[in-house]
Amino acid sequence: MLFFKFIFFSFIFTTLLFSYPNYSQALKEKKLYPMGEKIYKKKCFHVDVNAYKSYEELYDALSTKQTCMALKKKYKEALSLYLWDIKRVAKKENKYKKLTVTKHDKCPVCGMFLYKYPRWISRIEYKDKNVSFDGIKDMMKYYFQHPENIKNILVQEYYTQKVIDAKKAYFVLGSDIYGPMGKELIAFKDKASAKQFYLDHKAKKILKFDAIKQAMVYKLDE
Amino acid sequence: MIQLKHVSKVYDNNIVALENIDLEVKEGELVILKGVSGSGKSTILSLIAGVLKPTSGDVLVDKKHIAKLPDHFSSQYRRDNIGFIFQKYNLIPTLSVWENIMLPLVPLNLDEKELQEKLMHVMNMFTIVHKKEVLVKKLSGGEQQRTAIARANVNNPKIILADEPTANLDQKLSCEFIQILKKLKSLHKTIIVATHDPLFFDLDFVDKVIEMHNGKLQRQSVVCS
Amino acid sequence: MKKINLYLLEYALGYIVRYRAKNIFIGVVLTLLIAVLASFFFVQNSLQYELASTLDAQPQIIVTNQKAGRDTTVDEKMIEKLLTIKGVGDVTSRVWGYYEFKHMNAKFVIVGIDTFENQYNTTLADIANNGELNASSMLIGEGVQKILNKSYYRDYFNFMTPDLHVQKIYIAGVFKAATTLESNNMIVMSKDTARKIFGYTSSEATDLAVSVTNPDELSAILVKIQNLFPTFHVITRKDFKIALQNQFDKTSSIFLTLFIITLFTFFMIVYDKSSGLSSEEKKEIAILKAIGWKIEDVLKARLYEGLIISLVAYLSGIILALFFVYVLNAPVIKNIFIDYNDMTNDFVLPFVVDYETLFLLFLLSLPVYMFATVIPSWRVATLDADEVMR
Repeated sequence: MLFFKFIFFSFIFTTLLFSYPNYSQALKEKKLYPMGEKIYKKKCFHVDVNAYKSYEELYDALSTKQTCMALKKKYKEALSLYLWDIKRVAKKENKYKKLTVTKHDKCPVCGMFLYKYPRWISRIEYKDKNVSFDGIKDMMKYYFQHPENIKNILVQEYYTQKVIDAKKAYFVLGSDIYGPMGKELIAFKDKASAKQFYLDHKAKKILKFDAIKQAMVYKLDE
Repeated sequence: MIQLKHVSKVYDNNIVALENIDLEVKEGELVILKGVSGSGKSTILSLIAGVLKPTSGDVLVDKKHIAKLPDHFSSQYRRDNIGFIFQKYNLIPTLSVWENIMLPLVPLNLDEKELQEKLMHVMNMFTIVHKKEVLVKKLSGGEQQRTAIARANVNNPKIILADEPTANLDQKLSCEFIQILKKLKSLHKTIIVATHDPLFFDLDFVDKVIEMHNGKLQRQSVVCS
Repeated sequence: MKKINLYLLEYALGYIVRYRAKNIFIGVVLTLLIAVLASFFFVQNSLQYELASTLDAQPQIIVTNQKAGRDTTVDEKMIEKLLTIKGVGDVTSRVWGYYEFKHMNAKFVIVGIDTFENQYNTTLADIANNGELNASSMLIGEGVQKILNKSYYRDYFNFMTPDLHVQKIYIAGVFKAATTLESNNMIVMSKDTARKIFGYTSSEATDLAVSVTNPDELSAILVKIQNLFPTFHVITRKDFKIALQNQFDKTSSIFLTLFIITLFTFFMIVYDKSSGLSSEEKKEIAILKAIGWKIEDVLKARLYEGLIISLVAYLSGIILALFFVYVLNAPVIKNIFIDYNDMTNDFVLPFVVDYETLFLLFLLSLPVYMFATVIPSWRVATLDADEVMR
């Protein structure tokens, strides 16, 4: 009996050794995946992720592979995580390019120069042209006047400054964070972020894109 | 054109230099102020030049009240009308001959050509041009005198005032000065010479001799030519 | 505007040369004063420029642990907690510290880096991209190389760990940093190597560097960090900048006060000297008046005289200062500012030209001097010329 117990536990133990580590999402996204990406690009680029059936197999293989020179445990882990979670799934998550403007671009609603406020730039991509704004409030004002022929509406997420699709975003109104045109709508990529911001900055409401009405937008100017 | 009316001058230490002087010099006249040192003749020259102001009385030149002029106009008047030959010459020893002669013209900011013309003219007239680069302190007595005379004439003034011009000169140079005086007279300048050198008392081109003693006018005699 | 009276200018020039003893004295004193003041300003400008560049290379937030009121190490496990705060872009553990090389009286800054992490500093980023650091190698700054060479360490260096172990680290290369401050003191190695030298455990770090993606969120994040770790110190880059600027300003104002007093004294000396004209000078002015110069002409000549002397003094002073600061490296004045104990090694000041400083010095020197000469001259010029000539 004792013998089987011993075998059982040692089996569990060895699999646990290499099993998928239990890190928080934040740690993974902010530190481990970028690190893994760097390691992959610099040292270990001959790994075909899809050849492995489990995380443990991948991790094990890396230890023996000649191409990945002796890496510390920490680095091996980061690399494996990156490969398994990001490279394998290869979600072509719609990565939008950074919104850039020239020194001459102006917001059509208020006339301010956009290059002065890089963090607040938002954009509507129409079929024939792109129009950029110095805040989501001005963008919405314009949107209600010109709602046809739109390809994409892009905004910059508050916390990470990444460019996201406005239609999928959450907007917080009436916070104590002011944009170049005063009170603003602030964009977030998920509900949890919006909620956190709402609590931190004494905001009034959280809305999805379609719930935003023209009256609400103009009310912000009062 | 030069008039002194009831002019008195008392210095700060209560020395009376002049007492109630009445004097007149016509244009083009050569007048000798005769008297020993301390008789007040130098004071009269300084008053006419506008360098001194009388304690009482009026000094008029061409009907202008010289004594009442403020410094700015007084200097202007002096620059335009007076050529002063000082007893001690009052040249600047560390400057050269031409630099000394040029001094009255410096503030006028003349055209270079015009300035050179005036300089050369007087330097030639008083035969000092051959020493023009020499520092004044290295000149002989006679050369210094001629430099002083040239300086006094460089701006072609109407009135020439000379204070004891021959006091430091020997016979020869004194006679040279007399010749220069003749030349100046021929240029129709009004000349007043303050001196106690008897060489001047019997000259035939002198118009008037005024005798001074202790600050008071003694005698005015006209010399007939 | 009439053209400048060149004759008057020539006369003024001649006047200076003829009475040169007095003028040379004043000219030299003025030159020295300007040179000292200019040196001070040049050093200050260069240092501010250096510090501004260094500051930009600091992380936005630094989190330090405290024990008994003094800085102590942090545990890397804290990083995960900090990363959960929304708006925090990255948290890097920093392993750095000082190492005293007592033999050469030098103090090095050892910085440990992880080549696969994001770097907040351009010098470190360059090294991370290009350098190769293994467990027993390091990269040193150019200034460090010089110091080590002097004590015959060319290929490696023996560090002494806190438990009196000798740790031999090989010099893998030399780097040129973005700022001179860095080049002179910095040694870069892998974090684990640095830990060995400092006697840290494998999860210990000196402090944590936090970067924030949206600066609008900075104050909210500071509060959250403090709430998570109430006993820790949370310092922003701005705080650091303000603290340094204050120290700078304090030193500057002390020096400037001293200098203004000196300048005032100088003013008095010049005024006095100008009033005390020698009898020769007085006579010269009287003669000029007698031959028809107006008071304004005499004063103009004095003005030109003052202008010439002060201009020459100003230019000489500036050139002297430039030489003193940028060629000789400002020996004494530098030490007035550099008080913090990082800087025991020699430091080369970068060449920074600030036109405002030059203009200020110009205003301080020329008008002051001219004022001090013209006023007494006016008094003499109004004397009765006749009195002087007799």
